[in-house]
Amino acid sequence: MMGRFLLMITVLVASISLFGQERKSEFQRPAGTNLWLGSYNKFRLTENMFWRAEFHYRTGGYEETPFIGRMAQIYNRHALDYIVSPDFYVSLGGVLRLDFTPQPGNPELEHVIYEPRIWHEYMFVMRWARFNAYHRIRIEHRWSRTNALDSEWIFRNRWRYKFFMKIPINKSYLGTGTIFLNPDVEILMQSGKSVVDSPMEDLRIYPSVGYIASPSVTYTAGIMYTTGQSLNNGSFYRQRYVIRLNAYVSLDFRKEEKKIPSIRLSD
Amino acid sequence: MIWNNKYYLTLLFVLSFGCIGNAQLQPYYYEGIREAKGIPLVEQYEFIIRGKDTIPEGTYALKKSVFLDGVLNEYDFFSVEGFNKMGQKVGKWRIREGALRPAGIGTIDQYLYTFKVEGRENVFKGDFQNGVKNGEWLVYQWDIANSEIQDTLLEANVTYIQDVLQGNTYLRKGDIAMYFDITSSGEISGIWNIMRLGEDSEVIEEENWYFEQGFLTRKEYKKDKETHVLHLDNNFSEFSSSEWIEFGDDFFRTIHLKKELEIEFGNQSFPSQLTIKGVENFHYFEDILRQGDFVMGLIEGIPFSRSLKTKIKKNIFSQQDSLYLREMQSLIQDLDSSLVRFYEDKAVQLAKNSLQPAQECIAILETLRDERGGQVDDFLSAYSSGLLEKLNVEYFVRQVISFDRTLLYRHSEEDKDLREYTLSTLSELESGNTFAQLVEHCQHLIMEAEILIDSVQTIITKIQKEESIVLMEESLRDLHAYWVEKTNYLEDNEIESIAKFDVGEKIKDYLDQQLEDYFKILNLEKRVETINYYKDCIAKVEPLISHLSSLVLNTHAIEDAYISQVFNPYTFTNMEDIAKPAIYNAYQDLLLPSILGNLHDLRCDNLESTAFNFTILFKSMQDFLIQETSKKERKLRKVKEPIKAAEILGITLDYN
Repeated sequence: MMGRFLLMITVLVASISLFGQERKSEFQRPAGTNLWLGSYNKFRLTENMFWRAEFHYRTGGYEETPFIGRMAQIYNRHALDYIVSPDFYVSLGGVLRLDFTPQPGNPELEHVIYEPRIWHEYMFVMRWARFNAYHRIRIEHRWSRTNALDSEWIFRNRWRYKFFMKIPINKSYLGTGTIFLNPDVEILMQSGKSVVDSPMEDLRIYPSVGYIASPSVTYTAGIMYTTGQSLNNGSFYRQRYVIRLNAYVSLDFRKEEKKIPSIRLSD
Repeated sequence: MIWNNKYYLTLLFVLSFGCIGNAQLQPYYYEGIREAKGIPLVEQYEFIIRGKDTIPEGTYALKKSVFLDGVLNEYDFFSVEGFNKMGQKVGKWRIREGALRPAGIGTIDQYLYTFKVEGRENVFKGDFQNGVKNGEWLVYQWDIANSEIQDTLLEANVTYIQDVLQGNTYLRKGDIAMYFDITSSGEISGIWNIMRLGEDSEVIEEENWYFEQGFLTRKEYKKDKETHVLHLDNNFSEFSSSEWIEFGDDFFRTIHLKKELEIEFGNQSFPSQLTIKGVENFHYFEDILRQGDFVMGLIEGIPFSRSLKTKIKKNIFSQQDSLYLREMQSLIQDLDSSLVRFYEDKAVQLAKNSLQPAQECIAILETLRDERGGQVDDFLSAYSSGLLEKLNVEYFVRQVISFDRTLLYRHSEEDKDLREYTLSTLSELESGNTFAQLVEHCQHLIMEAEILIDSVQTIITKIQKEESIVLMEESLRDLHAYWVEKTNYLEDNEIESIAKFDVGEKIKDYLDQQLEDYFKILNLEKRVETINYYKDCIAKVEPLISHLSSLVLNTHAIEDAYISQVFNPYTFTNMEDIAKPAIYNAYQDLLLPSILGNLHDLRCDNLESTAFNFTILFKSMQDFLIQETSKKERKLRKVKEPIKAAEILGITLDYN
C-alpha cells in the first residue's frame, strides 16, 4: 500500500513539473484566510455501522476583515461508515455544500449556490506503539457551478489522499484526557471536462492539537495552510490559511443493555 | 546229792521240753510277693507254725521285686533286713533305700550290660527289742557316685526307748550340727545346741536354745568368743497364760516372730542367720525320720517319728481388744474397697502406665498398702490364726505402726502442686491402748491413702488438662497453619497491584502474632481460659481471606461495570469510558485503598469489620450504578479524604 502511495505522489509531483514548464506559476498574494468551525459526528448504529454527520461553518476574509469577513460555506456531509476490520473502514454518502457569494452585495452573483456531491472513502489505520497513523482515500463526485448567475453545472471527480497521525503527548496512549498532536497532510486532485490544467486542486498541510475529553468527545484546533491550482488558470496557485476548530462527537445509538455489562461480584 | 538229783532232773526236764519244743517248732521259709501301699515287694522270712499260727522266726528280708515299677525305677533299690524272734523284731535291723540312676555308658559283664549308679541312698539302722525300737538308731544319707559313697549329706544319731524317740539326739547336715535332748514325754527340755562347723569340724559359730519347763526362754549366740543373749517371753502381760504347742512350723514361726520383735523393740541384739539355718535343718531331720516312718510303716505300721512339743506363753484378749480388732478389720476392708475402686478407674490405669508423677504416687500408694497395710494384714492374720495370742502384742503393734515416712515426704516435696501433707508419728498417736493405737494407725493409713489417691486424681486432672490443652494447642497450631497456607492464595501480583502491598503477608503477620501472643502465656489455667479466644481470632481471618481472594474478581467486576471500552471512530481506538467517574474515582483512589489500609493494623477486634468493609463497598458500588447519584458525584469531585467520600456516598465503613 505504501508503495502505491509513493508512486502516486511521484506522478503528481512530476505532472506539476511538466505544467511548470509551460507557464510560470503564480501564487496568490496575499493568501486568503478562513475560519472553519467543524462539527464531526458519528453515531453508532450497529456493531460495525456508523452514521456519519459532519457540519462545517466556514467564513472567509473579506476586504479588511481576515478569516471572518464573509460567510463562505456551510458544509453538510453525511455518510454511512462500515467498519470492515479494526484497521479499515469504508464510507459512502452525500454532501450538500452551500457556497455563499464571494462578493456580498454583488447582484451579479447568486448569494448562495448548492453543490451536491457523492463521495466514498477508504480509511486505513496503521498502529504503532505510541501513536496511530492513518491513510485516507476519499473520492468525491461533485456537481458544482459558480455563483455567477446562470452559470453552468460542471461535474468533477475529486481524488483525495490524506495522511495524518495522532500522537499522544501527555500519555502513552490515546484515551480520555489525552492531548495529542495531529500532523495532517492531504492532497486533493481533480478530474473532469472542466479540468484542463489544474489537476491539483489543493494541498493541505494541517497540523493541529487535540484533546480527548472523553471517548465520545474530542476537540482539535489548528491552522491549515492550503494551496492549489485555480480551475481556470493552472499556473495560479491559491493560498489560504485556515483556522480550524473542530469538535468530534461520537454517540452510541445502540440499545443500552448492549453497551454496559452488569456487575457480577464474585461474592 | 539230792540237790544234785533235783538239779539234773530239772535240767533233763527242761531239755526234754526243749527237744519236744524244737521238734514241734520246725522252721519254715517263706518267699512271696507282698504288696504294701500299692508297691509290690518280695518278702522273705523264716517262720514256725504253732498250732494254726504262723510265727516269724529267724531272718526277715523285704526287697525290691523285679516287678517293681512306678514308685521305684530299675536302678532304685530297697531292702529291709532284720531278725524276728517269736514274731517280734529283735536285734539289728537295717533299712536301705536308694533313688539311683545309671551313670555312664556301662560295661558288658557276662553278656549283660551293667551300669555304675549315682544318686542318693538313705540308711536307717538300729536295734529292736521285743518288737519295738529300743536303743541307738543311726540315720545316714549318702551321695552316691560311681556306685560308691561320695559324701555324707545327713547323719543322725537318735535314741529310742520302748519305741519312743527320746534322749540325746545328734543331727548333722552339711556344716550344721545339732545336739538336743528329748524327754520321754516329748516335752522339749534342756539345752538345744546348734553349730556351724568348719572343714575340720571345728565350731565356727553356735547357738544354744534354753528350754525351761517347756518354754524357750533364752537363746545364746556364740562366735569368736563373744556371746549374745536373747531373752524370750519375758515381757508378757500379767494376764498371759501358756499352752503346749507342737514343736513344728507354728512354733518356729512364733519363735521367729518373737525373736524379731524382741530384737526390734526389746533392745536386744542377736544375729539371726544361724537360727534360721537351724530351723531348716530341724525340718529336714524330721523329713528324714518321717521317711523312715513310711518305710517302717510298710512293714509293721509302727510310727517312727516323735511328736515333740514345747510350751509357749499366750495372751488373753479382752472384749474391748476384740472390738478394736474388728474395727481394724473393717477399716482395712474400707481401705481395700476404696483402693479397688481407685484401681478400677480407667484413668488411673492409664496414668499408672503412662504418667510419671502418677506412677510415683501410685507406687507410694502400693507401698503404703502392701508394706504398711500388709503389716496390719499380718497382724490381723496372726489374730485370726491364733498366732497373735502367742506374741508380744505391744511389740507387734509397734512394729506395724513404725514405718518409714520419708518416701511420702520426698514425693510431696518434689511436686509443689500436690497437696502438702505430713504423716503422724507414733508419738502423735493419742490412744493409750495398744489396739486403739493400731486402730488409729489404720485410720491414718486410710487418710494417707486418701491423700495419695487425691494426689493421683489431682495429677490426672492436671495431666488431663495438660493433655487437653496440648490437643487444643495442636488444633490451634493446625488452624494457624491452615490459614497461613490459605494466605498463599493471596500471593498474587494482581492483588498486590491493587493493594500496593502484600496483603497475604499482612494476614500472615496477624496470624503469627496471635500464635505468639498465646504462647507468651505461661500459666496453664490462663492458657485453658484463653485458647478459644485465640482460636476465634485466627478463625476470623476466613471472611477477610475470602474477600481478599476475590478482590481481583470484584475489582474487575466493578471496573467492568463502571468502565466500558468505547470505540472511538475518530482515533479508531478503543477507549475506556467510566460511568459515574466521580464515584468510581472515589472508590478507586480513596475508598478501596483506605479499607485495604486497614490491613496494616489487623487486630482480633477489627478483623470482622475490616472484612465487612469490602462487602459494604462492593455492594454499594453495585448499587450506585443504578441509582441517581448526580448530586453525590458533584459533591465528590473535590473530596480527597476517604472518610468524607464515604460520608457523602452514605457508606458506613469501619476504620478502627
